[in-house]
Amino acid sequence: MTDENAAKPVHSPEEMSAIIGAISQEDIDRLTLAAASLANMLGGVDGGDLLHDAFVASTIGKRRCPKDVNPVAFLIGAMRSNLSNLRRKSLHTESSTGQEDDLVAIADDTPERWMERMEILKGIAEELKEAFGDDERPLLVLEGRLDGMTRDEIRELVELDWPQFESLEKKIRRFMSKRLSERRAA
Amino acid sequence: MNSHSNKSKDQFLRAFDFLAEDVESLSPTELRAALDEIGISATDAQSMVKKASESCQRQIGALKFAQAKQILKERSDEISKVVSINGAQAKAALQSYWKQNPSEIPTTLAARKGAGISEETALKIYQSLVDLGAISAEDEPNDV
Repeated sequence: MTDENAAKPVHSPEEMSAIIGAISQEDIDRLTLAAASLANMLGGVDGGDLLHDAFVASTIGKRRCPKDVNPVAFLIGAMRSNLSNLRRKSLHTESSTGQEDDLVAIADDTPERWMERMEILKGIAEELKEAFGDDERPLLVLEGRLDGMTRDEIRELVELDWPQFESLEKKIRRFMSKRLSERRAA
Repeated sequence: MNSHSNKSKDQFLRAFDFLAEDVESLSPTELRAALDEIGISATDAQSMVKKASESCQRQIGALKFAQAKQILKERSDEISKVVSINGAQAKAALQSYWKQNPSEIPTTLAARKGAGISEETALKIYQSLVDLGAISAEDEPNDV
């Protein structure tokens, strides 16, 4: 089996450090939106800590950004991937700053915490259903995504053309982001 | 983790994928509207990224410092190990090294082919070769 990624040119840690140091306001907004969304979903975690972890992983070479990938998309992916490492990180308690330990303590990887987080998302799905009244399509879109259906499959299910479907997805995202943020603030 | 919680984590990650998948393609106006809606101003966003970037630099600085300390410690351990060998062993190690690398015999010793140096000098030369990485202190020199 060949590893297609192995031969791909990647940004060096120094290049990633320079990219992060010269990030534009627009990209700052993109990263912040993704970090805040993830932090609100996790509950109790600061978006800045998630960004910090993604920055560190990419600037020490733990995660290498292929040169043909948008660094912002890569950093968002790194934040997501870091969630899979929470358990492993919790074993490394000798952090130089202590910050990792704080993150692990809050965003723990226990089965109970994942189930609690999903209960919150299911609660938001219920609110989505209520907000859209008789229109079942928003709930179908969200549930389809949670069940791992492709966008194309879901679009066919709700019988919308692409522009209509994308518009509906945006409405659902904004509804979810707002509800997650309100729950966090409460 | 049991299968139920694995499913929860998978669904959680899919929910995040759904929320984040259009972040890259949002226009600046849409981005700002989305951030405003969750109470994050442009200044807050700048501050969050700046803090994360600065703390990242601090952590990398701390990691580099820890690495440098570790290298220094290993080097000190190596030097201590070298000092613990005796002059005769150093001479034997040097003779063996010079046999394999005759071009590196110091010119002042070349005429004597390295045979007639004192044990004290042998220890000094051996030490400098270890420092240069030419000889590994791990290799136990044979007794003469």
